[in-house]
Amino acid sequence: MTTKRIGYTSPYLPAEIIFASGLTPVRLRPAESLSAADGFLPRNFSVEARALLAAALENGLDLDAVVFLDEDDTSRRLFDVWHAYAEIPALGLVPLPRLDSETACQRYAHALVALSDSLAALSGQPLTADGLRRAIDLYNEQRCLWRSLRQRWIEGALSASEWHDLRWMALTTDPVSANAELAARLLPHPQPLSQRERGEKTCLLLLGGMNIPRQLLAFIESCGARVVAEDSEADERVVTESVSGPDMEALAAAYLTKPCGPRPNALARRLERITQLLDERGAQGVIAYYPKFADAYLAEYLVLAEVFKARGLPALLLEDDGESGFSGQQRTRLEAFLEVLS
Amino acid sequence: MKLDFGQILSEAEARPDSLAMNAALRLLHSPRGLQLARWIAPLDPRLPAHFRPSAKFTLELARRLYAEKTEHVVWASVFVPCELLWGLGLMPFYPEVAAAAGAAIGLTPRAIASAAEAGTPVDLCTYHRASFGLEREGFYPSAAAFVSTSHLCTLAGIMLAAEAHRRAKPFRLIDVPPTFDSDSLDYVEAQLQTLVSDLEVATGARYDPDRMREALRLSNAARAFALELNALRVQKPAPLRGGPMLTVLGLGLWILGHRDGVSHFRAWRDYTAERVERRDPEQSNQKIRLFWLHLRPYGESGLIEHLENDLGGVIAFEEHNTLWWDELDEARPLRALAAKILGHPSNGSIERRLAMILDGVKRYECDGVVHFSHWGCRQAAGATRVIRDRLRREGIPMLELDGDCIDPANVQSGPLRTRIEAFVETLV
Repeated sequence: MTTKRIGYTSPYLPAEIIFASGLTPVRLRPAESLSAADGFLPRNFSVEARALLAAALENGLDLDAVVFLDEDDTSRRLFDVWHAYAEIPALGLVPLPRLDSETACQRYAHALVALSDSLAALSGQPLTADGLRRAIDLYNEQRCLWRSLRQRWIEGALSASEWHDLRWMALTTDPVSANAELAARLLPHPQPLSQRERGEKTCLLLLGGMNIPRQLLAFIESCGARVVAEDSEADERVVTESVSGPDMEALAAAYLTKPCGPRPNALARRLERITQLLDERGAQGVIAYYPKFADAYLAEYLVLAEVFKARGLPALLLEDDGESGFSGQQRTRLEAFLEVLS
Repeated sequence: MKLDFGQILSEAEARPDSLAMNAALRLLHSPRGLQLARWIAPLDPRLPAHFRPSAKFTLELARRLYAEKTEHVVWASVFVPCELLWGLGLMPFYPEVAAAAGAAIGLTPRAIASAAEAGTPVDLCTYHRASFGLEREGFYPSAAAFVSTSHLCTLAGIMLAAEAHRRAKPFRLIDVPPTFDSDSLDYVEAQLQTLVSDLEVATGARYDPDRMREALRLSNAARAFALELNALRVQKPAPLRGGPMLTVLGLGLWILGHRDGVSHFRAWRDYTAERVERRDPEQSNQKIRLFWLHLRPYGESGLIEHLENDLGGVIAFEEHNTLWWDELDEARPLRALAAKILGHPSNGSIERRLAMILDGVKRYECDGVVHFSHWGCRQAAGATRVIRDRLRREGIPMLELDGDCIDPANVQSGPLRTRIEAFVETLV
C-alpha cells in the first residue's frame, strides 16, 4: 500500500510519529539549485533553506505535506515563506524547546501530541500507543543497524560514499524497507582495512550542516585521506542510541538530548562531543563544510577553531554557496590542505 | 565637528602614541573622567531639554559599566528585558545596541576589520562582527554573566555563549516558545526564576522583591509617557522626524526600569506635545507619510536625510517604537516580564508581525511602508516577500531597502537613494 509521504527538515523531529500515523517520513535534503527561491528568500539566507524552498517551488518534491520545527530564525522564516507560496502544505510550526530540561522535554512531548493530531487528519489513522511502540521498536532496530554499519565504515570496510548512500536511504525511506536494506548490507563481512593500511591514510573529522555532499566524501578518499567521523545532521547528530521508553515523553527526551548541532545553550556539550570524536577516532585534521549564511555554524566555528589550534590540529573551513556544487576552487583548497597533512 | 573614533583608531595604528586614541579608551575606563563628563555634559546649553535625561543616563551608565561595580555587569541580547537586570541591582550591557552606537560615532569599520583579523566569518551579521571587534579593541566592559533569549536572533545567543566561554563566565539562555499561551507563560516565568538565582550566584546580587517591583513601576511610568508620545505622533503633520526616532529607540531597550527612563520619555512627550500645540513639526516639508520597518544605517549614509529633507517623506512611525506589551503587573514581576518577552510581535510566525504592521499603518495613516533590511538579519528580512505581498493585497505599497545598519561600506547610498526617490514619486 502506498502511504502519503511527509517531509521534514529538522533532525529533532522524531520520524517515529509520522510512521506511527500511517505515513512515510522523508528527511528533506537540499537540492542543487537555488534559483527558484530567488525573490522569495533573501540571497543572503541559508543556502540549505533556499535550496529546499527552490525544490518545493519547482515541484521537485514528491510529498504530501511538510513538518517545520521552530528551531531558529532560518527555520521560522522558511516556514513563513513556504506556507505562503509552496503548494505542498506546511503542517504548522512545531515549538521546539531550545533547552533539554525535564520541563522542556514535557513541553516537547505535548507539542508532538498536537502534531500527531494533524498527521492523523492527513492519514485518517489516529496515533495509538501500540502504533507508537511498534514504530519506536522499528527505529531502535534501525539504530542498531546504523551503529554496526558506521563501525564498518570507521574500520574501512565501507567506503565513505557507500556509507553516505546508506544513511540517506534510511533517512528517506520507510523504516521497514530501510531496515531490510541495512541488514542486507551487514550480511557480507568484507575485510576491514589493516592497521597498516589505515595508518597510511590521513584521518579527518568532517563538520557539516544538514548534508555533506557525496562528491566531497568521494574526493577526499580519492586524495588518499579518510573521513573517520562526520559531525552532521545525517550522521553523528542523528539519534543512534535506542529510545528507552515506549511513549511520547521518552521520544521527546531522546530527540531533545541527542548529540546537538550548534545551539547557544549547548556550547560546552558540543565542545565535549567534538573533542571526544577527535580523540576516539584519531583525527589528524578537520574540515568544516558549512552552508553559506548558516549563522549558527559559522559563529560556533570561531570557538571550534580555537580548540583545534590549541590541539595543533590543522583545520579548513569551506563554505557551500549552494550554486557551484563542490567547486573547482574548493577542490584545489582541499587538495592543498590534504597535501600539507600527508 | 563629529568625533570619528574610527579614524582615530586607524591613525593610532600608525601612531601608537596617539593622544586621541589613548584618551578615548582611557576615558571609558576612568571613574573620575566619566563622573566629570556626566556632570558637565547635561549642563551644556546646546543640548536640547528632551535629550538631557538620556545624556545623563548614558554617561552614568558608562561610568557604572566601566568603572564602578564591574562585577555587576551582565551582557544581554536585546530582547532580555532590562527591567529584570535593573530590578536585580545589576548593570545591563547590550552589545548589539552598543555596536549601533559605535557605528554612529564611526567606530565600526575598524571594529569589523578587527573581527576579520580574528577569523570572524564575513557572512555573519555586522552587529555581531562589530561587537566582537569592539570587544577585542577594548571598548566593551567586563562581564559577570551572559544572558540571551532564544526567540529572535539565533546568532546573538551563540555569540554571547561563545564570549562567555572565552571569559569562563556563566551563560544562560531563556527559551522562548513561539506561542503565547498560559503554558508558555509558566515556562518562561519558571526560567526567569532560575535565571534570577543563577545571576545571584554569578554576581553576588540579591533579589529584593521591593527593588524589582520598583523597576517595574518605573518601567510602567515610562511606558505611560511613551504611549502618550506615540499617540501624539498620530497627528498630521507628523510632529517628529522619524530618522532620529530610529536612533532613540535603542535607548528604550536599555532605560526602562531605570528612573531616568521616566524622565526620558516624559521629556520626549512634553517636547512632542509642545510641537503639536504650536503646529511646528520638526520636518516642515511633509508630502507622504511612511511606516518604517526594522532599523536604519547608523553611520553616515545620508539616506534618511535625503528622504526627509529632499523628498518630503516623513517617517510617521517606526515598527520598533511600538509598545507591544501590557502594563507590567508589579505584583507578579517575573510573570509580567515573561509576558513581555513572549509577546514580541516578531516571535513565532510572521502573522503577528504582519498584524502589528497593519495596525501601525492604519493608526498613523501612512501612505506606504519602507523595510530597511539589515544585511545579515535573517529573522527580520527573511520573510519580507510575505509582508510585501500581504500589504499589496491591502493596497499598501512597500519598498524594501537592502543595506547595513553597522557597516557603512555595505550601504550603497546611490542605488538606495534612487530606489527611495522612485518609491516616493509613485506615492506623491
